[in-house]
Amino acid sequence: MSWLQHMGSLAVALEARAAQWLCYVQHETEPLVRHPVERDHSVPGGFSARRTQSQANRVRITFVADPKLEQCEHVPKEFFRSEQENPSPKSAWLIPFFALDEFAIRQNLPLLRWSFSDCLELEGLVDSNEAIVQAHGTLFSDVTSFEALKSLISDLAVRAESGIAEADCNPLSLDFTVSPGEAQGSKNQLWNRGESGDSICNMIQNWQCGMRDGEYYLANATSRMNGPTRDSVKISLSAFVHEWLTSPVRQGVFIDCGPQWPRVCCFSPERFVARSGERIQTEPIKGTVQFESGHALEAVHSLWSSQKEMSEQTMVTDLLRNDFNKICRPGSVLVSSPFEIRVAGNLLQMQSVVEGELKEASLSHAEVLASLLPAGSVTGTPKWVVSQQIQIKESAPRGYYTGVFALARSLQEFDSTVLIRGFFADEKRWYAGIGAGITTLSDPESEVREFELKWQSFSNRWSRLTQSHLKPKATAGGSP
Amino acid sequence: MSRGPAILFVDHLDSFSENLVAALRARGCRVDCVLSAPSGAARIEHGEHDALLLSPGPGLPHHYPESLALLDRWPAERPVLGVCLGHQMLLSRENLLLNLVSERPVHGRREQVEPVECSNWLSGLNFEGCATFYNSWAIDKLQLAEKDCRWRLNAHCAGWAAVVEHKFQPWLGVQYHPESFASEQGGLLLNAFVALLNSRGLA
Repeated sequence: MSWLQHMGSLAVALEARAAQWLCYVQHETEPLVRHPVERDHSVPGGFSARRTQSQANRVRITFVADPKLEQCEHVPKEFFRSEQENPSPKSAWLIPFFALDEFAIRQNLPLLRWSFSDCLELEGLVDSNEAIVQAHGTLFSDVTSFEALKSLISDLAVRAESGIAEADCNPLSLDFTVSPGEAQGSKNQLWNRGESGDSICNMIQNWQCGMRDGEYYLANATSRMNGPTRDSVKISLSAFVHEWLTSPVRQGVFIDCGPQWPRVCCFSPERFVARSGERIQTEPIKGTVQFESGHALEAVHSLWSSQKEMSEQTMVTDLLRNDFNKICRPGSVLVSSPFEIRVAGNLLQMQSVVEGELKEASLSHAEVLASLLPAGSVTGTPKWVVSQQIQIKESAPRGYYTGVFALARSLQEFDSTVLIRGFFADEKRWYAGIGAGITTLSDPESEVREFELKWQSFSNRWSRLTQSHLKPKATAGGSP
Repeated sequence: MSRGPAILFVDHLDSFSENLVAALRARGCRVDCVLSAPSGAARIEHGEHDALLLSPGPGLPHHYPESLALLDRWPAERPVLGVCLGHQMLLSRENLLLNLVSERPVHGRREQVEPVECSNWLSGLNFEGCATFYNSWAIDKLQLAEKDCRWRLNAHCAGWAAVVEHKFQPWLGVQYHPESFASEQGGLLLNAFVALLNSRGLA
């Protein structure tokens, strides 16, 4: 039995230990297929066979308990400056979408940084029956090995049967069932589009006007979905972990750090930047297509033969190379796997892998992030012009949607995620966002359908996440 | 301290400029960057730079009067390389006209470049291969065929000027993005340009 199958139970067992949680799930997979491109080493930053060690189907889950808020700042420049002066080795960052400093201020959403000492990390291959366990801090001092972890879960199950524990589950398995009855917030559960399909169409056409004349070439247009009130819905740590296990994606982000701070529950296919010492890597996505099982290769070829998708991916790759070149040693930025295809649920996504070597190993995480934000794949090219236009053309603020979450384990290492395909809550409501890359070749109506497709691809998670309680399947009578 | 050629890099706020700067630095050049914004009014000063590089960027040449004014003052014998918008700047000074490449120009398109004539200034290039284009506007190659045109067509793409050079001074323009990861011959073109600068330094 895979170690992962214990994770739902573990999350239930952990929940009672702390009031506030951050959880980060990283799933390293091989792409479905790489582009059979001919490599040319005479090209600056040309394709290269060099690739960081294969991480085939490996999962790392980090549970952070009661993190300490270190920084809450509305001005990006100030945020990054003061972090540099006072870095913490173990830290988590939540950064809203901001195009420019003044834009961030107008949105009135803070950039947040937490430090932490209590965390539990599990890492292993998906089909292995054991994971490497690393516990830090006093809260997890009893979880010193995978065996200890299993006994912790068993212990929880025993207590559940005797009616002591409130949370319960079928130990050591994923056999959760959803309790009959209504989901929370059912009266207020409908998600509404922030704007009509026609209005999205207009926005897209508006973008295209400037593209024809060469003012900009690629723009990521987004639209907001409005959800139920924050208080009407509870999404627990275990519900998040269980949902990730039900339908895994590359990166999962869960934030529940108190009523005054934003909530995040995100299932993102897109890594932003990962750092290991002086090496950094990014994997921008452009190009999405739905596929049916058994027809994946046809879908792959439809992406590779589409001039629109290929030119979009070329643009975003050159854009991210450009951002990397600001902080990397000249000549070190390489595209190690262009146009590769990955599976994200029922969608295929095209991405390229860009790698580089930092000019100075001593650059802080803040300096690296500040040079690369906002993420290229959620803005466009030229980034500066498109960022200005986003403020004018989009009718609703993006909030933390298309922002970035980052988790640093040391001063040399962090990983980060572009916050797409997720649910976010401000002080009042839940919201989400959907978007698509727009170029001159975009057909506004099919782009609206792509918005819809992306929404469908993750909105069904909502009802599963918000079901009132997860109950053990076999031992239903044990619940108090 | 690097003793490579010194390049004045005029950045038109493009999102690919850093790729060009890095490509030049990786080839041993010292690169000084200055910004040329559409709204700017400051005069760009050039020092004892060995060459001028005009970056790609959004919009049209006349949106950047500072860059055009700099070209007027730039010594004829010192090399210039204009990329995309920079290429259009060089040719628009010759009163050549820019046209939309299509009603829906595709940015980031890869197209085949067809060689026309070897370069007088860059050695060892045949200009053939696929290259990445980000332009909406271009110059019809026929305009360069006019008798009194001081510019030579080295390569074209679907009838549009792709690589051009001045017949009497080492000024060059390239419509595609040689620094793009998907431009096959881009690296060779930049190698040849840096080799030109190095050979002048030795002379």
